[in-house]
Amino acid sequence: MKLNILNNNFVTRFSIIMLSVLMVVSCSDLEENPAEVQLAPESLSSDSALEALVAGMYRKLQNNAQWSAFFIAGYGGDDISTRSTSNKAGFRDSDWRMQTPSSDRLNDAYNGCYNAITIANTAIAAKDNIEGDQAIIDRLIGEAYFMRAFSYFHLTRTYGRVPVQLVPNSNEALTRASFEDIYMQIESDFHQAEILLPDVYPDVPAVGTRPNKGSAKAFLARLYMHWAGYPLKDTGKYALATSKAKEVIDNEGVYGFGLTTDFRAMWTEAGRFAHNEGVFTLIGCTAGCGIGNRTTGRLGLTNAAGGWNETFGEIAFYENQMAAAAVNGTMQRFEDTYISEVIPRASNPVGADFMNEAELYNRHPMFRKIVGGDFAETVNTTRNDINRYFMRYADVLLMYAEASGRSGNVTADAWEALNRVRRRAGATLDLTSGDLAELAYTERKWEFAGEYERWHDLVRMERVIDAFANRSPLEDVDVTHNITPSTDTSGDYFYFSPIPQSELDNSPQLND
Amino acid sequence: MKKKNSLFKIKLRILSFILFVSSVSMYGQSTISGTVTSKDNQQPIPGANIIIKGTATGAATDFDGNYSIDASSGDVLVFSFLGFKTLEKLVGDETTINVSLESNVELLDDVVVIGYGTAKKTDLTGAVSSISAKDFERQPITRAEDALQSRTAGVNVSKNSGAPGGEVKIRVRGSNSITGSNDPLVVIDGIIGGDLSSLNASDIQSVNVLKDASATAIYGSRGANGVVMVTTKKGRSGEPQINVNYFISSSKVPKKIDLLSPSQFATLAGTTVQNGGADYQDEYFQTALTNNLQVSASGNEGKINYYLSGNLIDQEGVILNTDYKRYTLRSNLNADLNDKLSIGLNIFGSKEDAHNLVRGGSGASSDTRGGIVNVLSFDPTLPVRNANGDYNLQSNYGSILVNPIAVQKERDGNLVEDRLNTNLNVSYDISENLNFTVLAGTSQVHFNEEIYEGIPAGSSVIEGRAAFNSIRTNEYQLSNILTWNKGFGETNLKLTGIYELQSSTTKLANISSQNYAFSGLSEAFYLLELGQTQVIGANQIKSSIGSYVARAEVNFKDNLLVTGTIRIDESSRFREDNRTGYFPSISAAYNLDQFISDNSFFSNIKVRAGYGETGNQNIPPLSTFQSLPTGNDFFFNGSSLDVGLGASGLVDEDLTWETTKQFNAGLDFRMAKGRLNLSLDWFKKNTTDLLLDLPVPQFNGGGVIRTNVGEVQNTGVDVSLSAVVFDTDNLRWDSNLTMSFVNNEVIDLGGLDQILTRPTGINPNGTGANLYIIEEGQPLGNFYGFKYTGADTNGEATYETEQGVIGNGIPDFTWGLNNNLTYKNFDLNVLFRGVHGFDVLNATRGMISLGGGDVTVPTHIDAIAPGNPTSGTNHINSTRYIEDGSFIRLSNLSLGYALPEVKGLKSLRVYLSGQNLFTITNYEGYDPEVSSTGTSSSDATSSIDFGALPNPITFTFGVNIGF
Repeated sequence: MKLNILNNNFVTRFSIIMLSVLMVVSCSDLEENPAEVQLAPESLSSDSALEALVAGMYRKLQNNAQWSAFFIAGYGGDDISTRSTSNKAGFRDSDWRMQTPSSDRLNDAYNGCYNAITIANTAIAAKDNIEGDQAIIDRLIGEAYFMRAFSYFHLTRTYGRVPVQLVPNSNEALTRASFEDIYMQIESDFHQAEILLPDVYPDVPAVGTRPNKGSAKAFLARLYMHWAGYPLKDTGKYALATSKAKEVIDNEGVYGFGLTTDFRAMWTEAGRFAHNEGVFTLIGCTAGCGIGNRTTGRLGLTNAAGGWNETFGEIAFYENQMAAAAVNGTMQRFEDTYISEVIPRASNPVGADFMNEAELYNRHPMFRKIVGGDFAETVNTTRNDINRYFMRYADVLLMYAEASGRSGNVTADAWEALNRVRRRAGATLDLTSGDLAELAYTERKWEFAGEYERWHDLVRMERVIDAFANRSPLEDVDVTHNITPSTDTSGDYFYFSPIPQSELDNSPQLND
Repeated sequence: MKKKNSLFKIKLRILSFILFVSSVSMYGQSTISGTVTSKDNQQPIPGANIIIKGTATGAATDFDGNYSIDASSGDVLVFSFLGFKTLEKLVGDETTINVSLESNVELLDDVVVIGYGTAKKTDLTGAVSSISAKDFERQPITRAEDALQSRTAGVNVSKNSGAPGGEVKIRVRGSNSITGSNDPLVVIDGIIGGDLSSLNASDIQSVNVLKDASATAIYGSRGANGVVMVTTKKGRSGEPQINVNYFISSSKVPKKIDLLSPSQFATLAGTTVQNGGADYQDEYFQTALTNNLQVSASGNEGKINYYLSGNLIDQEGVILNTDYKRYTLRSNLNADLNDKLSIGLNIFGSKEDAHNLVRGGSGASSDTRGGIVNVLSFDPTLPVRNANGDYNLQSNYGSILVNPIAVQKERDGNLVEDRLNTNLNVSYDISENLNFTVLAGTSQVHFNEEIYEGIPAGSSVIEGRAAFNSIRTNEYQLSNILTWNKGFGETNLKLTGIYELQSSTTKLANISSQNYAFSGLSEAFYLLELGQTQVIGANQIKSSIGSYVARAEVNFKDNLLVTGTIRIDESSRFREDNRTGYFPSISAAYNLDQFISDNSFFSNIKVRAGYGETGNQNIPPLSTFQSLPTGNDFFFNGSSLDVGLGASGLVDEDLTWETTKQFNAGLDFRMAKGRLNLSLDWFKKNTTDLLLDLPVPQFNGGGVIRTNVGEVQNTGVDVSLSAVVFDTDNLRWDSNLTMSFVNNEVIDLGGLDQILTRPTGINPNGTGANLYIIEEGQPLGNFYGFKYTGADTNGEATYETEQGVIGNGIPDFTWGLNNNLTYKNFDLNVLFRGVHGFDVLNATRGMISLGGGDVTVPTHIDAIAPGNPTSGTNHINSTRYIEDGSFIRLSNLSLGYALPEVKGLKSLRVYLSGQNLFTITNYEGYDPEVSSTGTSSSDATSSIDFGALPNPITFTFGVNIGF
């Protein structure tokens, strides 16, 4: 008996030791192995990895830029209106320049741009560690510089002074940079892009869907137009705008830019790649990927047309454009810009007869550029593959004309640039005299109506008040919220939108 | 004191001597026979033991409870049976002695399961709340959490959602962590990390909740949120016992929200009622039936005891096209191979099938704006279908979202979880004092999610989409437990040493597909390849933890009890230098009985005190490593996707344990000869080095960085009072009152002034407004928003400009009152519970009270009430929609009747029962208990009703049959 116990003890003890040893061996691995399931930052070491990172940069921008709110500032323009009801209040706040940090719809431009910047910073910081074809690396790094500049430009045009972060993996509590610093940074990045990007971007479905050297130059021209205007008003920059635009125009064949003949088709799905006017364009992939443009389609229709009341034309602007088109012979462009015919939805209203609608809230001109150049394609959609043009080649031509005028360097080429755009719009008589700068400035108004660019023209020339004074008294007023448009140019957020409250909550230093 | 003690012993010896003398002086044996029955239900007790006191002579009752024994006049017969109070009868001249045994809950509860062992309840030094099957057997329950609710002081169980299979939130003594999980650790039969929702509630023998750190420190890095120890049933000695329990119940939503009629809405919106319109609440909610069948067989054959059970639940949800099915099987076998070696094998298998359960029940729609908010705001002038029989999918008035009935009816979501738990327990007595136990457990879980949304929720009508996700989790645990127990005179010492390893691996694959090439598909999750847009993913999540544990329990003369523990955990979730955590505890209890006389009104007085440290490692694996995120594909050619990567988020490589230090002091005593039992505990726990997600500004990449900063403190009192109110021959009334007070305060936020936040995915009206604020010196769960100042003369809603704290969503006082009455063959259970001192942000009401955001024209009856605003901004996070959530609820009312004698059956009981029959509250929504945020880490963002699913009112009829 006693012996038995001893034996059992021995066996058990032996088992314990054995078991423990086994367990230690089998399970002692407490080291995590991240490489098994995820990509370490160090894996960003090849041109193909960089290519994927750049794809992600576009996606991050697209995540927010697919929404109208990415262009929230553009609602301030006298060309675009919205409806005060429902979830459109944020657009109305911008339309009437009465935003507060708590206004709706302020996040998309802010988040989309900084998300793209964060990836651009990652790519730029990794550029010296990447192995592969140097031409590919240069092109992709150039694209990262371009995207960073583009995003800061969109940020400062929307929010004014913003913090500037240029490195990844930082959690520094940045303050708002000065306009000078922001503009110089954007200039520097566009310069880098100009150096690194190729003349022709390979394997793109249409020019402008990814930036080339010409795109970088064109955006530099836009930067200088703004630099010369409000808020910095360094008018010397008009000359730089002139020369940069000229570089693009002189090499339009090299970069592949040109004016299309079918204006309306630029806002159709069928025609999205069938022209070469895009300088920088965001495309959609609704059919293939389920991701597309959500700034166009049904949201541009009124209630009467079963729409979402998001983006409308303004009555006075519409009337002025119609009158100007009649005078200039550009009725074709006017027809391509607005809907005039029967809209095959809801009560089937006639676009041109909007003022005859019974309900005040249905009395809005509707943009064909928003609803779609071809109704059959997109009138029922809230997501589609109409292009969103960040810049068209017509912009380069008109910037060149305007900047030439404003810098006192009026040339035949500058008149020709203006006339090319006018001729495409249907004008048969070229202009050769008058105030070139103002003629080009006005031409921009009609050419880019409904494309979110008008507001920025108004701001840089400080003509917002004049434009607001021209608002039609027939315009739908906000009876729901009992408010009227702001006219106080000294207001905090008159020219620039406030940084969203959620970011101010995280970074109170941005309140200063 | 010593003197008194020895005096008592002398008295005892004298008494024994007299008994002995009197017994030997008697003579003349005769056969005594009789029947042993249960006092509870007058049913015979088979297998009861009868022995003649002071001898080895004994007998047992047969199947019908009959016995016979040879005894002499003057002998004392001792009748005993497990679970009943032992009864002694002096034999006189009679030959028939029938006895009725009283059940003894206390005896069953006498042993409390603590970590890696058991302890006598009287020997406990820490704070442990215990319930046993007896406490909840008269309430028809479908899940284990129901058993815990309101019956355990310091444990707050809230049913976050009325969805069958939905998540239940359990908090032990408040909320420690701001962003980490606050769920307690669940240990089932010794296996760490168990799952309560799949458990068959009638398999539960007991649940013990370890509350203070001196009790939970044995679980070290996983013990900070308390430990729920579940022990399943084992075969009992005696005749085989077969039980069949069946109930059927009917549930409905507790109320309807007062909305505008179709014609009132039409007037307000400026539209017309089409074809009578529709009542979308009636269309959406249904009367739901539940069938629940539980069968068990248990017994003891020689050295083997067994408990086998099966359970089938088929439960409809109160929302259209939702239901939940659960099937479980359990086999608990134990064998004593010899007098030293015993082996036990528990096998548990379950299958859960939750149909159209969304986000664990925290909402009813895949779009957080959808579901109930959409039901209440959808245009009532529009019938569900038009004259052609097609759905009216959208309206220009009311909700801008797609018709909720169409979305719900055309949804086919199946969440199927198969689980197999195997748990082997080998115990060997190396010597009289030394035992070695190995516990080896595995859990294999396969979760399959198949979802097809024919009409996806959202603000646009888009094509159907489907997803198929497969998640397989394997968990292993191996615990080696060495216990040495020895008495030294009147002192007993027990030492326990444990080496334990645990690992978990989850492998998952997910595919989603949309833009189908063909229309008219129904179960399109099996035809994902026909979708022209596909998203795929795969992942593996691994973690492991190795631990060394030591415990010493000292018992000095049953007066002073001291327990000390230490656990050393090494977790794979942290980097090497921060991996090892030390979690000590010490606690003591002192019995004061020796100071009081036997006849005192008070008895069994015990004071307890303890201190311990526990940890929280509950962060996802790989949290300390940066990675380039995938899923950022872009379409450079406009027709297909190119792989895209994102930028790494910020991580803190030095991340380590969140540590909770808790001090507990308790007092237990009895009054009125044991008829009143009181247990009081005070605690203070401080959680430091919080695993906190600090928001990263958007300009630095956005998102959050998880780091160790800050401190949260919880102080509180747990009170548990049980009383035998009546105890006569026919009537017995037991009452149990539990109360918990918790006071929560954020002590430190690591230099931040405040953290503003809102729950993930909850964004009423799309403003992105923060809804909660975390501030130093304030409790967690503070609502942040605008003070509503009424409507101005134009009917415009006005607010104070500055935002601030507008309420708090965490209750500070909860109680439960459980009453069990038996009168003859009738039994009655009445369970009340109360939750007090918290607010609910009624975002559901907010969304429908004033136009704006996702609801163009309001639908609530208040929208046209005089004095209410008709214009202006509708801030959801405003005092207008903050409501007092306090409530008192009749959780259960059951009336049962045990039929006295049914041929062929041992017992038969039928009952009627109702749950949540009434709720006393000022809350205007469906149910103040529910919240739209998940259960595990929602403590900073609790009590928001943004379309939360209400708990239903339920009526049940059931029958319990014993063979």
